[in-house]
Amino acid sequence: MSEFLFELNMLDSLLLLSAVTVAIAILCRVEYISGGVVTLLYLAQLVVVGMMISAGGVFSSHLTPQLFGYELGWLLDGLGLYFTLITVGSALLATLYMAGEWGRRYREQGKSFRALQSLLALNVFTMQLLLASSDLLSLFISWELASWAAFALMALSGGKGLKAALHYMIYAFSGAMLVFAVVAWIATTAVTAAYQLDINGAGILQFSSVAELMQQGIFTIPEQLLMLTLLLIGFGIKMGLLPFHLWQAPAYALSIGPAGAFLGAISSRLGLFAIIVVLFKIFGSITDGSILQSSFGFEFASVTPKTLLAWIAVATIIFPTFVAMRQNDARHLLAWHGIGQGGYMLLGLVMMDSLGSAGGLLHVFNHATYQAALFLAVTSVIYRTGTADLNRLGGLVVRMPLSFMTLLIGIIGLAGLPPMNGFVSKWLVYRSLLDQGELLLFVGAVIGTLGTILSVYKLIHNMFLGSLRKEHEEVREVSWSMLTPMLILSALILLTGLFPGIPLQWVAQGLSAVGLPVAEFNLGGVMADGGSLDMVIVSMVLFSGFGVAALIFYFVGGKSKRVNPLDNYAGGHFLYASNRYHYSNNFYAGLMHLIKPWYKNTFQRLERVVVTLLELTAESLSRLYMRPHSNQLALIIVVLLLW
Amino acid sequence: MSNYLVLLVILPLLGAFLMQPLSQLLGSKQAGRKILQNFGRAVIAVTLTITYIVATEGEGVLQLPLSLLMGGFVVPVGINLYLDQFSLLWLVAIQVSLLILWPASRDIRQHLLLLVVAASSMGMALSGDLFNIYVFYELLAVATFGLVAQAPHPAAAVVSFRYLLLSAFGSVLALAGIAIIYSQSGSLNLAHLSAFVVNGETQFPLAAFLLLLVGFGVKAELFGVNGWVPEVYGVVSSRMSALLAGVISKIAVVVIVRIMLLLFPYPEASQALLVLGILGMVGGEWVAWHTAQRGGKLSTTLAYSSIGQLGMIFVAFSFSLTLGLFVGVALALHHLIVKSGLFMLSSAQLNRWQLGLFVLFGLSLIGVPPLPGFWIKLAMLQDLWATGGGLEQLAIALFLLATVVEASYLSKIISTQMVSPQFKSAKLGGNSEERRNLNLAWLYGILLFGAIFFINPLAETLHGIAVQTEDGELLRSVVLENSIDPLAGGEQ
Amino acid sequence: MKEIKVENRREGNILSRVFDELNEFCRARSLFILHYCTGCGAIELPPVMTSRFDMERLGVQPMVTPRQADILLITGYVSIKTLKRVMLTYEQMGSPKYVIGICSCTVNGGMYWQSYATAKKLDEYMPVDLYIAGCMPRPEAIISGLRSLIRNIELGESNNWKKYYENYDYYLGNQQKLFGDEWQTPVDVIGEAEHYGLVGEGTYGEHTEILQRVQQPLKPLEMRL
Repeated sequence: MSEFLFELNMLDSLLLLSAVTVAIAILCRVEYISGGVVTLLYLAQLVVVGMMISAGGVFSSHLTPQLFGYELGWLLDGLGLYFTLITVGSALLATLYMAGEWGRRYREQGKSFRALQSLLALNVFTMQLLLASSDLLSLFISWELASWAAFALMALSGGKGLKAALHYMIYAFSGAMLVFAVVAWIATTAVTAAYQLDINGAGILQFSSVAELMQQGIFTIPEQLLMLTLLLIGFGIKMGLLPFHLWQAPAYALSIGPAGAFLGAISSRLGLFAIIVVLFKIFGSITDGSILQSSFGFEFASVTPKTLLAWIAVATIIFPTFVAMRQNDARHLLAWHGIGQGGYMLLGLVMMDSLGSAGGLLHVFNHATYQAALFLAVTSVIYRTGTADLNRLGGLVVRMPLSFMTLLIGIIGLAGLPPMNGFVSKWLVYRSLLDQGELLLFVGAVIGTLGTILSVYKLIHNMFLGSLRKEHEEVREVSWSMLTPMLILSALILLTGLFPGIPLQWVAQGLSAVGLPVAEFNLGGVMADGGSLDMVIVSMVLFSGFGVAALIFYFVGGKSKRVNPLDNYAGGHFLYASNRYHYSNNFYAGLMHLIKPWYKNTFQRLERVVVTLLELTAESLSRLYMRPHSNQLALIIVVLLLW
Repeated sequence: MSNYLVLLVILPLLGAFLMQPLSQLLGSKQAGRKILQNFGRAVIAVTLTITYIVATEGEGVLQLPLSLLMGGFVVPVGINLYLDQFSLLWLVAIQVSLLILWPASRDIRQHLLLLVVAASSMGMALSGDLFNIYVFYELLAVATFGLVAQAPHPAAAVVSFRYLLLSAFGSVLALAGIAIIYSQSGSLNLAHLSAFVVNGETQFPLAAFLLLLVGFGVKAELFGVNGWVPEVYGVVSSRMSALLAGVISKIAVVVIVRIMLLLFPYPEASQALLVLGILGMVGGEWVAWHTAQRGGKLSTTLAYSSIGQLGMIFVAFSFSLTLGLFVGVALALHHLIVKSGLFMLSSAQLNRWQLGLFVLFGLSLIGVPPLPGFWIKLAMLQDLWATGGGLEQLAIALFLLATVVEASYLSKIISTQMVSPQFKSAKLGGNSEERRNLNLAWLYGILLFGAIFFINPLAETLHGIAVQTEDGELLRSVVLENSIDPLAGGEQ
Repeated sequence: MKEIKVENRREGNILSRVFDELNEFCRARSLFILHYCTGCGAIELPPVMTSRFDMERLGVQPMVTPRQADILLITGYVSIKTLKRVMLTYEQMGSPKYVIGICSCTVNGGMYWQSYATAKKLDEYMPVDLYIAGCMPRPEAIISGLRSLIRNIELGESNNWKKYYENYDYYLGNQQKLFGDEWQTPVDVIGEAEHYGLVGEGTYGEHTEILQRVQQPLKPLEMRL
């Protein structure tokens, strides 16, 4: 037994720890300590991942089952480690959030805390399996498992959440079937090729072997393009790329609080991970003459798959962000932003140069931090006030100042403004777009940022600023068990904004594992030929600006006095507490007046078209079966056949 | 010892005929009634034992198939019974399913008819003569007419009659096909006919295949002649549905496959099967979705679902390569287990645990790893890709789309079930028969779940079966040269 | 003989004492008028603001909220209803603030000296820094008035806003006479007086006692965890 334990390298111990977490979450009936124990287990997982990252290199598991003639295996390299770090970190913070008072109230409402914990642990486990997969079959199997685990987690909230989860399931399953088709195709061809080349067919589905076969050209270019398209659609559905994004917002928004934070932070980024694996590891897109750069089209204009992907990414940035602006529920607003930010990640990666891909990959980490922070802050507000409806909140800054601070730091990060970490990744992406001369894409990305700034301001104003409602006057800040993860995340956002070199090191490891070019990163940012970024200096300038203002305000100017909000100017008129002088409904009335005609619900109509086609076919086929004279039909068919 | 093979057909028939006089004798006493209740099961248990004995005799039929001449008449004049791994698999499947799904009713006629079903289906699986298969097929059909008519539903008689009409129509077609073959070759023995084909003397016309296909396809729920399926499944009890969908349809499929392999080994035949399979798959799954959307009965939805699944099985069998046979057999077995389990679960309102079981069956049906359904699907896709061709690629696309539709309506059913109040509690509901049905579903569930851990050995076994079945040479050599004459007491 | 004006040194923190003169210089040249026009005299303001007479060259321009305004213009008669709002607005302005009474109605009731619905002397209700008589005064007169206000501010002589805090009881008494004993504004004038350190002998009195009884104090919302 002890030899077996010594045989466990770090990846095996991570997977084992994860499985143990699932087991304990399922079995532990004493619910008020299970939260703490599971949190500690996640912490242990995080420590293991940290050790793996600092050790560098590649870890392969000893678990290699031979199933159906194929050898499955698991292997964690820099890229997988990066995503695993984010996964385990988000799970740790989500569990920390629900370990204390939140979990207590959840149980008092009669819901199953055990189910929530177990499903979260199951999600983490399947995600780790996915991130560590080293061949196509294990990738697909863990992809399916992770999708279904996510479905179960979303479905836990019941009611509308269940409907949204079922909607997700149809999308995800269709995507998985597309991926399945391609995997089977590759498997069949690879096995035949292996037989002809007389090499061992069992490990033929390993990424490296498949890449080699691709290089040798066992598939023609049109076939490769078709495969790439199907795979991108399949994985892009999970990632929420346009036009397959309709499921994501309601599913994440309506899931249970901390679970929503976890899902929003990392769950859809697994699609991005799979896309990176497919694009760079299997199809070898970095090399010249690769599939991504091959152009096809007319004499006067040609399109490369890279351009197409970049434009899809920009569309994903713009459309969901402006849909988010119209949302009245805080969680829906954040969920739509989650969709939009995925576009930045893909955009950066598709540019395939050192700065852009670093920006895209770093955005995964950054987005996880502030999406989790925002979701947890909103969950805290729901916990205290019972609603997330932006038209029914206001003025909570005086009652929940720490949640306000978390939300503020989160939205500055989401908008991509210094000194938060979002600025760094966006800057890198913009830099790369400008370096490659993609001005239209750059404009598109900037429009997205503009939309983000507008809609997150609406979020913070309607929730925390403005006048406090009478019914919320007794609201208090949430307890320390819920505050701790929020404050940790805020500190993390600030820190990684100030010293982006720390996460950029992990990004560099991820990029080199895939073969993308890596830039020289220092603690403050990057020194590149096109332009350098040093966040330490930027933040110092920013803070000194604030410092001067603070100096003037507090020391040089006159005394200030706090007054009641009703002591306010309204054309000389007296203000009464019975009226609400809070501008929240129809927040961007002026802007909406201009751009409302552009909201045409196009994608929902497209979805409706597909469903209607299905219903039409089903209806007509069912008429075939409901005929009273089935013999006639049989006769007709036989006659047709014989003819 | 191998002579006892024929008992597999004779004993259940005998038991069926004996039931009537026995019931007169014993029906009055309490103990007698108990004996009658369990008589059928006892007969099947006996036949199962005989199967075991015959199969393991000597080197075992796993190594070498067995052919038994009836009455000592030489092939091709006489009829032979052919037992290889393929037939053995289906024999075991029939008998085990019958044992599990035997109804607990007091009506002797049901037991009687089921014994006839047992005899005829085993005969169909074993027989090596085309007309003999047809006879057993007719016997099976008549027995099912009776069973459907006895269903506890007001519309049972009408439904049974319509089923009879359609089945009769199919039988006429099958007879026409047999007539064509006989007129062209003068023989009715499968091995003999396949020898003709292989020697290049005759090529049986496609029309004959189509007639036989549609004829036998009635039971196999083939597209065009499966109008009876939703009606019948909507009226009969869950156990009968499970039997019909699970076992009987597979036997018909098995017969069609044997005929196609031996007599019509050319691509047009497989293509016809492929097209009809695709149509059946699409029709079945789409209408199942439609039914679930409209809130129809669960048994109707499952009926259409089984049409769809059988369509998939036809698609799989339409490739005569070894991989195709392997996939087809695996798919058929998988469907047998899963559908029977699903029909068992359809008898009553489900509680939490039973719904979990339903979810398990559903997931295996749509092919979620690590359940066996996934591996079968993988093999099926590889099979289809390997064959190439435009129609096959269309089949892949439609197959995957059908799976998504399946996922959709299964989840609709599950979420509807979750709304019911009984769902929250862990208590059982329904009357005792329904509860027993639900418990039987657990048996199938354990079987399915256990299969996850034995994927590799199961795959190898099925692969072996497929290899042996495809080997027409083996069949011809065994039947034509090495048939066992029971009267002679040894090799011929 | 030329008179030499003596400047008073004011309280302030150490930095402001150094820049006092600069402060007054800048303040006098950047006056915002609250865009609040009470009566008929308001018609004279557009000519003053527009390019013919252009008060903006003096640094005077309109502003929308009292919190950011320096000058409150009472342009014309003040009915009782209006006076309530004017008081509220005046109290909401941040100090230092200046009140200019334009038109004769503010001086002695003007045309409406017999009316039951107007206030006759603005001086009784709030400290006024400058009167510009006329009915109505022409733009040149208004600009001349503004210029004298500017000169007063430069010399540090326009500190009437402090008088409101130091004599609050007197002003409150006049207001209560007009509006009744229940008169109150959301602004806590006494609190402000204490905050700015401008409590005088006239701050408390019998009228403020009545106010204490009827006033429902509006506490500022405190931030708490």
